[in-house]
Amino acid sequence: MKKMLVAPLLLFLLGCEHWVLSPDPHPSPSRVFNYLWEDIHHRYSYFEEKNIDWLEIKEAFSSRVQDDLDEKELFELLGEMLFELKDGHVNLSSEFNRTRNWEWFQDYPANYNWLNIEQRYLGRDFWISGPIRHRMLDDILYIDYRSFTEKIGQGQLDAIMERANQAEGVIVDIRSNGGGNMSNAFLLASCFTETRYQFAQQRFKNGPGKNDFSPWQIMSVRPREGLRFDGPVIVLTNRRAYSASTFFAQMMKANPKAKLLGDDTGGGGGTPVFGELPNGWMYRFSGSQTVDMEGHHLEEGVSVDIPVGLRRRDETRGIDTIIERALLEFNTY
Amino acid sequence: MHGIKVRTVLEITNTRKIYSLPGLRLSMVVLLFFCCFQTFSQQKSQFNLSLYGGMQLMSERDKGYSPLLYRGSRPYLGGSFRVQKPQKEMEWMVTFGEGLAENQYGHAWEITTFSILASHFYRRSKDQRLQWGWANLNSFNQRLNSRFANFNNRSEYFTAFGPAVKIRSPFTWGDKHFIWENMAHMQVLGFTLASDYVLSEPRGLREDSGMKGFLNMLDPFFLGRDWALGGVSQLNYQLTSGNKLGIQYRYDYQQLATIHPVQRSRGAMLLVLTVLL
Repeated sequence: MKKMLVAPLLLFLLGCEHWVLSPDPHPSPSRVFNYLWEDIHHRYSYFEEKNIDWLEIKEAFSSRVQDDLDEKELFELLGEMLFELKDGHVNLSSEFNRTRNWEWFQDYPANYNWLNIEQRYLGRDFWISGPIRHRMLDDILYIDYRSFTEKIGQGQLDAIMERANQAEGVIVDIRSNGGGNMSNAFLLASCFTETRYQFAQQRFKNGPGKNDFSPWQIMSVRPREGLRFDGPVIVLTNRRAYSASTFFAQMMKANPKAKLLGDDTGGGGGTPVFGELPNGWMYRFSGSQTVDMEGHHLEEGVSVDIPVGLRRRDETRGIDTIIERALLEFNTY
Repeated sequence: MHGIKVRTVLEITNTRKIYSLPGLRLSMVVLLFFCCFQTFSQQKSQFNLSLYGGMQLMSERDKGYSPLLYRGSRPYLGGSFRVQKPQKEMEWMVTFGEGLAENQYGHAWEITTFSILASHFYRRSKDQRLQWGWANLNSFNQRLNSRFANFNNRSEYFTAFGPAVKIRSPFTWGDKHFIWENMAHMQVLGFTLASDYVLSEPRGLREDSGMKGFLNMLDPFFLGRDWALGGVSQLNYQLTSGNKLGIQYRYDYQQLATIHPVQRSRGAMLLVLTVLL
């Protein structure tokens, strides 16, 4: 009887259950390089739109991959390869660094001066409703939302909408908002419509082939169930408004009562998908495509209705040219 | 006295409400179960209810997330209901486990598993040692990867049928009665429902609703392409009351050729209490 007990007990205590599974791949630089290249090759969604020859990129970089590379050299090399995708949603993350491509805003004017907004437009008596700061500028409600990662509560939205309904119009400033959770973008946009409307189409990679995508799915905004604002809205954007901010800008662009003002958004129309390399480093890349109702990719950003830049002379005087223009614009509604 | 009367009247007038209470409905189900049980009993059937509890060691790899193996241990619970007839034995085992597994770099997934194994064995007599039959395994597994901001859970469900075998070896040690029971099963044919290429939900879920959408989500499960096999080795000490105390080792291996292959191997050590109904 002892044998009967000992055999399964030993199996359990020795933790042999993993013996039947193949061991982890060796994290050699060449294997890590190939794994990353191949996964991006199969799952990245913008090769054709960006006219990127990923095979050519492999040829260019693989000759530099030697198995005696240390981890920092390998990290730098992989980061350089990913940089070629020209995508703000592409990163490689290790314990010591995170690679990125920020050309989508670094090569453009900032069109944003936080100090001026704080001193001149928010002042000292602005309201803080969760992640949103807001203040009445005469009869216009100015809303400042810094990151879509911060969740907006229903009660907070009610407070904002209550003030909006006392105003003639609303300015939503999402300049330099780097994005975050899409559900917050949908929630905020739902406050400014009385009817459901379509604003974009989205499709996801569903196989390793270049053209393996799910069918296009319509994306739409539904009116919020609580308090809403039915008047004119101006959304302020700049190149640093990215990802969920680009989606929000597109939602508002499709809203007939809203206008976009400032500079085009930075893009980020692909939903980031994540993966892990044989050496434990994490990476992400775009795994979907989104187009507006005319077929333009949101990855390239959403163009504004009224292009306005921040004038240097105004900036030094503490004036935000873009906010001032938005305030003037309400007279034309 | 007057108060009691009022209360009785209220109870009578609220009869419809009382019947809708979940507790009452549950009682009716239990009553129905015992009626059926009584009918079976008259056919010389024996009923056993077992409860399991213990720990499971798990190793899992989902290439939709990582090429690395994630390993860990977790509490593992279950229960089974067995019906023994002179020439047939049926058992339904339900198991549940939830816990963290880590890769060699310390990154973790939370793995949740729920499964139902239904087995039927056929025999000429109750004392037959070797019994053949079939088993249907329903298994749902979900991995939650909180390091990933999007699509951070991947899951799959499969149901499959296949042959099963059981060897039953009763013996005595001193004046004590023991039963050593070994069971193995291998799934042959069925279907799977798994997370899509990049999305957490199954393919086609967003595209079609209704039956067409459901059928699009299904993939066949067949032996050779997919593997699901397992075994249970249980040593029971029979008490004079007919109830049993036991120790069980349970192992299962699964390899699914879903859109990103999934592989897992798990072993659990459990204490078992079996009650003769």
